Amino acid sequence: MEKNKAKLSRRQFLKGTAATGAMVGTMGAVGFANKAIADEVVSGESGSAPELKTVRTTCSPNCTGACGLNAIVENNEIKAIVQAADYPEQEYNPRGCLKGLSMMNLVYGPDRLQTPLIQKGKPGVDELQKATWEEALDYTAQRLKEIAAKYGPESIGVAFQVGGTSYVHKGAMSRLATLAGWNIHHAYDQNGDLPMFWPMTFGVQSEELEPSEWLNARYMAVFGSNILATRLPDAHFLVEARNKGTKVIVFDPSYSPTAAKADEYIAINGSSDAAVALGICKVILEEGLYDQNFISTFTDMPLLVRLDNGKRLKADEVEGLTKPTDTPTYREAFVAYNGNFLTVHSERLDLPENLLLEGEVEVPLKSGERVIAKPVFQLLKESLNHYTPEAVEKESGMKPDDLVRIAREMATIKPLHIVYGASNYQWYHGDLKGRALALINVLTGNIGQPGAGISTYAGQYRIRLKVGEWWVPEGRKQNWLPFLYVLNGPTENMKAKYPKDGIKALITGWGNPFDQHNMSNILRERVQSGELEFVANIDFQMTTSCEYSHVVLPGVTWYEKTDLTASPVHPYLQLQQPAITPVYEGRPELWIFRELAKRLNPEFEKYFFPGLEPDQAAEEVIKLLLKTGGPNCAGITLEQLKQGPVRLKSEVPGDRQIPFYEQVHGKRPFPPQSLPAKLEQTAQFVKSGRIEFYKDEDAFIEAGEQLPVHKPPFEESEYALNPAAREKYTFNFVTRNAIYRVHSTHSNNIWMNELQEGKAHIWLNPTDAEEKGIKQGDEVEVYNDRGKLLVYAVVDAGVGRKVAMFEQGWWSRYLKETSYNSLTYPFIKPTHEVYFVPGMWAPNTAWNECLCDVKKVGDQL
Amino acid sequence: MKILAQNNVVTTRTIPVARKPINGMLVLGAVLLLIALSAWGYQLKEGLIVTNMRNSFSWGLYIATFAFFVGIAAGGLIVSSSVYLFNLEKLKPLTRIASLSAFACSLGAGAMILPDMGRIDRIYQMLLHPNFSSPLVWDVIVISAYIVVTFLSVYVQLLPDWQREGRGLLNGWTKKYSPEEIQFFSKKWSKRVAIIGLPFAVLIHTVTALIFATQASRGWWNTAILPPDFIAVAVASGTALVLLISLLYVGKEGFAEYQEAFRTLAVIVAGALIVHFFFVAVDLLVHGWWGSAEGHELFALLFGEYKFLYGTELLLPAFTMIFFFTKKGNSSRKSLILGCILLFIGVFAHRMMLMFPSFNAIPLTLNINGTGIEAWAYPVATGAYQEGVSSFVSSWPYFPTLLEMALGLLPFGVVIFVISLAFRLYFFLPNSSKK
Amino acid sequence: MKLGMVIDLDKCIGCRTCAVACKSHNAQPPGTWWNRVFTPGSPYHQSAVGEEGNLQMNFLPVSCQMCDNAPCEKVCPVGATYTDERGVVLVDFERCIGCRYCIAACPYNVRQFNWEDPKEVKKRAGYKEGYEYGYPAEARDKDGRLVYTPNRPVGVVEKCTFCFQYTSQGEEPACVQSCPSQARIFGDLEDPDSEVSRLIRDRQAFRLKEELGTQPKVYYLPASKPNR
Ligand SMILES: Nc1nc2c(c(=O)[nH]1)N[C@H]1C(S)=C(S)[C@@H](COP(=O)(O)OP(=O)(O)OC[C@H]3O[C@@H](n4cnc5c(=O)[nH]c(N)nc54)[C@H](O)[C@@H]3O)O[C@H]1N2
Ligand SMILES: Nc1nc2c(c(=O)[nH]1)N[C@H]1C(S)=C(S)[C@@H](COP(=O)(O)OP(=O)(O)OC[C@H]3O[C@@H](n4cnc5c(=O)[nH]c(N)nc54)[C@H](O)[C@@H]3O)O[C@H]1N2
Ligand code: SF4
Ligand code: SF4
Ligand code: SF4
Ligand code: SF4
Ligand code: SF4
Ligand SMILES: [Mo]
Repeated sequence: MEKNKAKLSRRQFLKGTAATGAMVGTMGAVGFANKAIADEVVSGESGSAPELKTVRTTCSPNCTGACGLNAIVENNEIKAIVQAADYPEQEYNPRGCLKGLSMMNLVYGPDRLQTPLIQKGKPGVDELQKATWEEALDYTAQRLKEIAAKYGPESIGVAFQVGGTSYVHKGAMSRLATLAGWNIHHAYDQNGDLPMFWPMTFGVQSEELEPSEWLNARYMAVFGSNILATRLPDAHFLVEARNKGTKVIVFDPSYSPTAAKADEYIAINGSSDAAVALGICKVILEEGLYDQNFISTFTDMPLLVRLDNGKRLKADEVEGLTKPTDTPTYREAFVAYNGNFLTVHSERLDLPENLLLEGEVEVPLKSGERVIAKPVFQLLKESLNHYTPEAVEKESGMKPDDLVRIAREMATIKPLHIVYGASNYQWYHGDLKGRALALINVLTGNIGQPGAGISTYAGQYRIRLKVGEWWVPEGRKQNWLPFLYVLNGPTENMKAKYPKDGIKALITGWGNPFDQHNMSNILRERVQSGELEFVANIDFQMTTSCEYSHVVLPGVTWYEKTDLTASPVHPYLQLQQPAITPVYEGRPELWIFRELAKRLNPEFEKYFFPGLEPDQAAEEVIKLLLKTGGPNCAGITLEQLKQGPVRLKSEVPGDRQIPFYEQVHGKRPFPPQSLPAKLEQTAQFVKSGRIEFYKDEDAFIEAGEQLPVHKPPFEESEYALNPAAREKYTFNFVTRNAIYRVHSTHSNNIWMNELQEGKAHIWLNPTDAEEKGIKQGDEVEVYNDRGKLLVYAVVDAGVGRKVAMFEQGWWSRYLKETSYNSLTYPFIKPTHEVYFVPGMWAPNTAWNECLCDVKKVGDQL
Repeated sequence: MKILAQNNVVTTRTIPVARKPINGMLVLGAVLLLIALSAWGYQLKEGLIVTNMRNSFSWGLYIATFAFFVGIAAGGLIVSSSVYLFNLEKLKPLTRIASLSAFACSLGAGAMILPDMGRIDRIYQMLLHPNFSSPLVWDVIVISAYIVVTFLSVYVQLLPDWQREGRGLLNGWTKKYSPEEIQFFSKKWSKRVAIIGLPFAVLIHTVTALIFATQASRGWWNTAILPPDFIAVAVASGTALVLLISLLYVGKEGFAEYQEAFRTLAVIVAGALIVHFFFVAVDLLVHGWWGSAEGHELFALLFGEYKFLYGTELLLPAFTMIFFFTKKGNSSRKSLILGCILLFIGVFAHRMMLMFPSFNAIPLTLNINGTGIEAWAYPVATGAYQEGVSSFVSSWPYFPTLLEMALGLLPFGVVIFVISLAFRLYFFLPNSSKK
Repeated sequence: MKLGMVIDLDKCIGCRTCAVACKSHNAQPPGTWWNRVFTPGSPYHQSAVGEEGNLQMNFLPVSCQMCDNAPCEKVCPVGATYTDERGVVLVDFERCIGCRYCIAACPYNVRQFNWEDPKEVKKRAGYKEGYEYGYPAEARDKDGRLVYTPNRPVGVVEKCTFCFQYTSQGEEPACVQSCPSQARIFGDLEDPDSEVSRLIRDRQAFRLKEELGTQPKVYYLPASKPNR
């Protein structure tokens, strides 16, 4: 077991220890800092000194925090938790929040799974029965074999949530799924965390500035990211930046705690951000505030677009031009004009300066035709003409004066950092909003510089090192199926392969889909009807998903096992280390998958370090990962990690995390690699090798979304699905995150619930509440044709009109067995089906694209 | 047996004392004690969680009842000392009853405070480490002293009877003296004790009031008017209790004989109430005039949530006051009894109202600038946990639990038991009255 | 030495981490909170105050204010509440008789009573059998008075101790160590060079209910942002 040498207190307030010693007198207890130094046994002055040990681990729920925490352990029990505060960069200390510090309540709480469980009756209705590991594993293996034999292994779906929290144990699940040929549902799009504008515009999965860079920004515009709640350990950077003179402005339909700390708060209508952004861009273009050099060098603005078919002009089409022979197959060579037609090399950012950006040219094609073409910039300018301040006001409610003023500020105060929150892109047109917002940064050259850029801070999505050696044994092929298809069934245009009988069995770990995922009620019904024949869930506590499972396998927390983590935002490689032996009969997941593997096929066992204890095996995996992980972790050793967190390597000086720094400073083509995908998979998204605002794939042209545009919410989703919804459901069901939970984790944490009056709430604007006859604390039903939710009202003047705001993540049992995700719908947007790279370009869930009505419980309609 | 015989002697006296009711009262007292003590036993086992007090409302029925008994304990010494100080000879026959009532009530008050302690097992800490800046310590001292004084007062007044009848408590020494000597001793010491006792009577109210009045954290209490008002109320209610007990003791038959005394007592009650209402008016004025947030909150509570209780507190004593000044009110037995009972209800409401507006106006109120929010009370953790129920409150709708009410019967049991036992054992109208 | 705390309301993000750290490190039973964080003016934490166009949201952590002129100490009949030589107001768990006079006296409502045996409450909350959270050892002052124990006796009063078990060792209180916004600063008010003294001097530090004359040793720095 790992003993930690790091000191516990971040600051000591007394100068001399002599004075302290004298003051302590006969006190029996000895502070745990001293304890840590004395290493386990402390000879206190009296015999009552506790034998304390501190172990440093990494808090790893599905939250980007990845906070280093110290467990204070006595007699193999965690007594309290405190931030490790051991990051070499002092500004990151202390890192941790109320949830992390109260994890004991989950480790030792009433919902902790004690033994494996088997459902012998009806899932969700009958009690699960206690079973031995032997029974549960045998049963699971047997059922999976039956289903694989009947429908093929690809009918078995696997979901293990995003990777950064657990390279070892989640990797083991991936490894087994790959060996067995199961289908994997990538958590990133399942969560709705995939900001589709990233692959569309920059060819990456997603990127962001590390929070300490906020201090370098001079202007920070936050569009619907509730940093004070969802970036809790980093929120102080926002306040500090503001106090250093960075202007902080928050755009949100509702006044959030983050808005309260900002210099300025702009209330806008739901999903109108694209209109605002494009209005801002229009001012920037009109007033010539854009960075011409930047857009010519790094973007597709100079590329010519044929007016006849809306496609970009390819070098191969133009008389006298040819596609360079060294153009990779996944790229394309396009054309620009500076008096002559120029081939734009997809791997080089070396066009001359005097490019045509405005106007049009007639192009002689090899076919002999002559077509009219315009640079993207010209088309953009034309399309922005619609976004006058007055038009923007109509869509967004933002005052014209504010728009113009803020546009000028954003264009002139540099570095500019835009935060585009997950909640904001979890809309049907989230991709358009992102493209529009990114345009502000790009036009003003605010990319790839310290403190500049656009960031989307979502969950632990990003993979920071090459994990293939462990996750994908021997380079085997993996099957992937976006989760939205499981719910929706196959679509006409889908690129992923849909199994012929659909998904018949589900194995989930590190997730709680029966609360957290779309149509949770449909999923429940499918299990109960037998359509979904088998569900196995690996968790350490009795979640709603466990209740609906056929088999429940007790895993363990980050205090009971060894693992390797690397959060996307907070760029450190860190360990999870066992502070205590597993509570009850919980087992590290690597062990569970090894046991399952050998029952599925005796051949599989050898892939999981047979014979080694789980923690030993995990250390072996970590060594393997460090060895094969690539440049980000080059040279980092397990021994170093045991000493404390180690900063990941990057190409930015000081290993800072500034997206596209290398592109901008080294004039390298876009995109940088997004692990674990291969470059050729993601480079096809931006075939020009540049930042692209013009998309000419058919689906974009059909949708009229070649360029970023604003489209009002619900038209193509809710109203298309059910025209009656326009009159019937006028409230927007917005599901944000709470400081009290990481999604559904901590939903049963007793202290968190004490802090929330023990109840789940819905936030309503006072005017709406009054119209509905709802008062503070009333029980309210939130409903639509698909489902309903029972909660209690908080009447809050900051909530936007016609918004029903819910803090998602409550287990059904706290909602009188209703479910918030019975209201949401798995809309699939056609442009998300143009390519399929798991978790990178895939149909993304749009939680907030949801309409509902509210009524006081007891009221008739 | 012996006692019974002597009782027979008593019944032949001109003042008929209803034996049956006294036996009934004794049983009632015993039953109340039994109920209260079992409730206490249960509370000791479970903790004060069985009450409805919580961190936000940390004193309730027990302390209110305590304050009530402290109040009515005054009567005894006020009546007897008035006899000497103001030469109210008419009242002289009632001094024994007065002293007994004072003694019983102060015992009751003392008893009531005990179950309110979370750790009664540590009460000895009061002796080991008294903190003299705490009004509570002084209250314990003066109440203990008052118990002793009132006991002495009863004792010296009963001595002549005891000597004559050859029984009683701690009276062996009287054998050496002649009845006349003892009679003289009794008279002299009755007077002395009454006069020594008077300051204690005033003190127990002052100090009990100071427990509250010193607390700047609670606007409702923090007023210099509280101690004098406590005294005014004590004079009224304490006198009313003597009046009531005497009325019951002498029965219908004896009413005529003591009518003058009764009327005098009624007028004292009414007079004290005038003073009380004067204080109430001044107090409300002072709280309201400044127009602070706390003041508004207080008025909102008084005339909103607690209007019924506050109405009871104001109207019933007001009725008694007026009634007792009228001939109709102060000259019939029935109306005197009615007036006293209404007054007690009113005073009990007054004692409860010490708690309600005070604890429900959370002391940490803040003005929120620029939002139109004048006062906002900082929520308090209740100290109790129940799933699905808030651990934080900004007001607590306190209402005593059944158990609390049962335990709250303790002083009633003590007083009824002590008084009826004393009545059953001894004779409480002095011989002189028969002459 | 006179220990004090400064809470920077500008930096405070209302996250309640300090409240939870306090609860856990000081083994407070369910229902008991020595340290609370609320949004003044709002019926629910982190919901806005005011009206559209004039909204605000501020967060105010409140625990024992460590009054220099402490009413709780004055009223305590048995001297169970006392101020130690560092200026910390403490409760002797072994002397308190549970009269709750101090609760009535405290203007900040920070005192908490063990209405029920804490062990019973924890049992009801469903923790693993025998599990107890919190700093696991007793702490006594130099006179041997018990001012912290993870196993709280029923029927006594408790409150913030400035984390006696830690601060008497020269370490910072749990809430100060854990505040992710570093909004809480702890130190010696008598030392003019300490960070607390400096902040009190340099910023417009204020104290709660100053008009009562309790002279708290917890100071607040105002939030710099006005309504918007
Ligand atoms: N309506 C609506 N729905 C939403 C959202 C929304 O905004 N609105 N948000 C979405 C988003 S952004 C996300 S990311 C998803 C998150 O959805 P999920 O990831 O499914 O939600 P969590 O509650 O985080 O589930 C994590 C589960 O893993 C368990 N767990 C944690 N660590 C371990 C471990 O080490 N081992 C094992 N075996 N189990 C472990 C926890 O106990 C918990 O039950 O929810 C999505 N759902
Ligand atoms: N405490 C905590 N932190 C977390 C998580 C957690 O569960 N708990 N989850 C993590 C994960 S997985 C994720 S994905 C992130 C999510 O982090 P965020 O993106 O911050 O998510 P939310 O809290 O859902 O929403 C933030 C704000 O978006 C606003 N919003 C909604 N729709 C719109 C819109 O159309 N336009 C604008 N401008 N604003 C809008 C809402 O009003 C809300 O105030 O948080 C991560 N951090
Ligand atoms: S829950 Fe998230 S923010 Fe809180 S301590 Fe854990 S990782 Fe950090
Ligand atoms: S932990 Fe810090 S930021 Fe959070 S509520 Fe407490 S004082 Fe405020
Ligand atoms: S805040 Fe309350 S408990 Fe703390 S010292 Fe002041 S009066 Fe006492
Ligand atoms: S409850 Fe305890 S600490 Fe408070 S005043 Fe009474 S004895 Fe003192
Ligand atoms: S100093 Fe310690 S006891 Fe006091 S509020 Fe902070 S954590 Fe709680
Ligand atoms: Mo997420």
